Amino acid sequence: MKYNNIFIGSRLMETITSGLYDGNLNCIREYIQNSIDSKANHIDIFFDNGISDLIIKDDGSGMNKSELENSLGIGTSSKSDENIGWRGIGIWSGVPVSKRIVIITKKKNDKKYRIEINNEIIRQNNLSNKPILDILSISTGDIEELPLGRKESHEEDHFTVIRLESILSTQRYVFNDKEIANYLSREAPVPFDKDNFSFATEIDKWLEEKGVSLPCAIIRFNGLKLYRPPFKSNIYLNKLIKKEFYIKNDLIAVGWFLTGIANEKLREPNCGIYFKKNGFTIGDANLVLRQFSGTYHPWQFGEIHIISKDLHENAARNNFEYNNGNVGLFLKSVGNFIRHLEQLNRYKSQKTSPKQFEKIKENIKNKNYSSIDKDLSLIKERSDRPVSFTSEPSIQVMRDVIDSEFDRYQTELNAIKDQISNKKPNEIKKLEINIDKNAVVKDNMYEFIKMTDKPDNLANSSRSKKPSILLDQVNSELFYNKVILESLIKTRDLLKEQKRFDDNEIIQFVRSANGSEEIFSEAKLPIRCNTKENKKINQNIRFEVMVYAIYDLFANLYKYDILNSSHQWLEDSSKEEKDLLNAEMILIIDSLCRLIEKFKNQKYEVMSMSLPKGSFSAEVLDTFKD
Amino acid sequence: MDVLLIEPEYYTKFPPLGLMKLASYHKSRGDEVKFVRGINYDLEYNPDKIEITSLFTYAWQPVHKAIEYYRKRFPDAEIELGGIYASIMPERLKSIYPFLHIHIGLFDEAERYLPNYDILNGIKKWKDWDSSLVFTSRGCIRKCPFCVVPRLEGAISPVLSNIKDYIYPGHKKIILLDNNFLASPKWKTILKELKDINMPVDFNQGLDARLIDEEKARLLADLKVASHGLTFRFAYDYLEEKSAVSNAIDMLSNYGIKRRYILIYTLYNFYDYNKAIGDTPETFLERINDVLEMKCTIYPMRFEPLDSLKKNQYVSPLWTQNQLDAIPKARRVIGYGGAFPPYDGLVNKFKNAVDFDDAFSLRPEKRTTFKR
Repeated sequence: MKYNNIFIGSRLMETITSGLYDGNLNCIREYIQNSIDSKANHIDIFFDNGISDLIIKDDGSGMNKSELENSLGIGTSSKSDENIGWRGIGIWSGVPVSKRIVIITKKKNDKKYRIEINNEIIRQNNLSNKPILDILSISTGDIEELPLGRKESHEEDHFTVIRLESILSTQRYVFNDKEIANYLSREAPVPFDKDNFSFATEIDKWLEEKGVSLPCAIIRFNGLKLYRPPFKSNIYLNKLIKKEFYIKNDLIAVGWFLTGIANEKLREPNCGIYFKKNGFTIGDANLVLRQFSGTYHPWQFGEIHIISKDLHENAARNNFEYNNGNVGLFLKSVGNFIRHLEQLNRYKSQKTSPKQFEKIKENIKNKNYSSIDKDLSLIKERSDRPVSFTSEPSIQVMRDVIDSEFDRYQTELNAIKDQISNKKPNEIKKLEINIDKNAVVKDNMYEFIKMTDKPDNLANSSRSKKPSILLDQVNSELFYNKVILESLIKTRDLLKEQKRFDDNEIIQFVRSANGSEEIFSEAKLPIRCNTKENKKINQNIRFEVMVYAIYDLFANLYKYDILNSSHQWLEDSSKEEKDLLNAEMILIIDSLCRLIEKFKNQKYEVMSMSLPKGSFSAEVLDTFKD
Repeated sequence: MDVLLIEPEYYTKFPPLGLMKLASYHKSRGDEVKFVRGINYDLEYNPDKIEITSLFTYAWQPVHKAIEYYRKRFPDAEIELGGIYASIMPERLKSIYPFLHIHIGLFDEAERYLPNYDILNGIKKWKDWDSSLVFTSRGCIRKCPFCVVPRLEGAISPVLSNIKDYIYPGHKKIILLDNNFLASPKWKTILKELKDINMPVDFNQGLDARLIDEEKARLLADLKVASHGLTFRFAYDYLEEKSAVSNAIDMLSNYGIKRRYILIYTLYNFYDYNKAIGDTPETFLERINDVLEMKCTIYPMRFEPLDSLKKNQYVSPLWTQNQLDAIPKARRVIGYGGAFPPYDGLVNKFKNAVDFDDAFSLRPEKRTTFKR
């Protein structure tokens, strides 16, 4: 049968454009491949006019007029399989995503040429059944010569610029800065970031030794040099797995793999195993997993670089072409290797428990000994379980790494055990009780505040007839103790520091505040809420002193962790002392709350008059208002 | 090639759309593009070509200033001038600047490009610009004698089939610059698309009241309108258009558009020498009263000849200078924002006036003495 134009319809165009490249960024890869095939040293990819136009600019050899014409052929290519692109369809890959594709190119000692493809015409006719040649003829403009500016050189300049103009609004969800940067670092033949990935040199050297050819073009996106993942080293165990894949004694691919320290899935983009050919990624991380039927925990990062020329990727470059018998064999061996990696993961997860160790260390730091025994026994139980190491030779290097990790853990484990057994059992117990008790004290106090009478009633009662039980206690000798005194000493220091009072001034100040000359005398009550000589004004001023005292007391008590060493005095107290302390704190808070309520309406007038400027009474009151 | 695009420093509310499209056009040809407004003494650039735009003829001075400065600064570069002034008065320009290349009318090849908004970033006046400027059609179905559009753009023709792809990501508003949007064959698809996009839209050049029907009114009333207290704009230039204008307003009002937020442009001071007819102060007043009766807001538009070199100089044979002067004064004193909204005092004053002079007479200005 003899074919003519009528038989080859526009739907073929649809297949090689929308069919391959719609809704993804793979068209950019097509253009980068062309750039690399033209021996470019620099490839710049950038947006112009917001994210409307995407430009791929290289300093490759460029094209003359006939080469430019040929580049627009379909399914013909002057490239050999040495090159990366060889199907001759790449140039059309921008059709589904933009309104126009513009190519501007120049060879040394040649003119500058431009051609424009109107994608809208192609898209509109995709399903029209019109002969493909007719559609191509009306959608593709004529090659035009562009004049050179003064800056440009006819002899020297050589480049190709691909412009995807007016990216369609429907494509903006992938054609944006973030998506393209991620895509390119994952897919394009870009180097490692040596500053952040310490294995880079070792890997590069090994790949070079094994004959992996990687393009050396510098690829930039929006002016920034691109690197490929991983972007971290400290999340992996410090040893590379290097694997060579042979078929019939021919080396067809080499792979390198890193194993994560944590026994969990690594995070993107530092996770996954990728097939690479000539530096470009084939498919995605799932392509590797598809070769393996069992469970697999993606705890690795790795690359498998194809060396053999017989292994081809398919047109969409999301998989291999299966028409070569070797592909099946190769993928099977990859699947086997993954099984070994999985065994490695299993071994590692039993021998090492980094997460549990962190937890134990944290608990020890916080003096929380309650769950440590349990955690320790869990770790031990796991590591005691029998587990075999994989027989795969290339993975043997990991055994030492994991075993030495295991040894390190054992040493640490023993140290922890010693540490804990040195402590008397009752001491540990006592600490726990203290924690509980402090919590109770705190709860009691808040509970008590809620229960207390309304301040109005108290304002009447506090002075005379019906003093509450608690206020009676204030007058009792029980009230005096170390805590209050200490807090007052702290108050004194605070006054010294904040107001720069000397000792005399402090005495003067506190004396006037308290209405007593003997504030620091241990025989007297430091805070008198219900004394006969109380006058209104003195009461208010004393209130200030009390605020200082309370503020200091509580700021120290509850600002930090409960078992902070500065509260050793609390730990050291006997049961009676603690009960006393409890009652006293309740009393103080009680009085304070009532006073705050009582003087709320007076807006602290008296206080602000009587206190020197810079008093932090308002700030302190705010602390207590809640 | 290195191209320098220049917007002369005249008064304008809109960035130079033509130059922005030219920027895209040049970039599409691989050229380097630099954009400046007015005279930039610090410019570090050596252009192969300079392209200058122009606006109304009476704003010629800044254009000449730009031509002279950049010619002197870059004597080797080719200079091309486009825009309205260049299209209307090419001979005048050619005689003053023989070296000048002049482009008349639209530059069709640049029309399909998305304007390059990135070039505005470096310009103080435009750096905060946040609206996408779109012509969905060019030209007009009418041939109004006072209008430059038929002369520059010809008959109506759609230029875009959709709007979405012409909205710059991040912009907050769409400004449609169609001369006669409702006359465009694509009006329906575009109104529906605008509804989908759901961004505030501004029909900046006004709508043709004669083309409003139930369907259009419904679709228009359904849009999110970008306004500063105004929704749609129409023109009422001849008394014969009264029923069309009032119809259009009734229909929009039925769909919930507030009448006082509809702005009606009323032309005055125009005289058609071919037919020897024109508006008079009295027909102008009549139209004003008509609009006020429709409870809409009036925006008086003084006719300016296409080739006037100084603004507000032309006086129609049917008007006097004093009468023309009275209108801006009234707009300032009894109007609001240059317009006449239909508030009672104003409505009564105009309705009860015996003639134009009575309507536009204002109480003598009070003399105010300021004390220190």
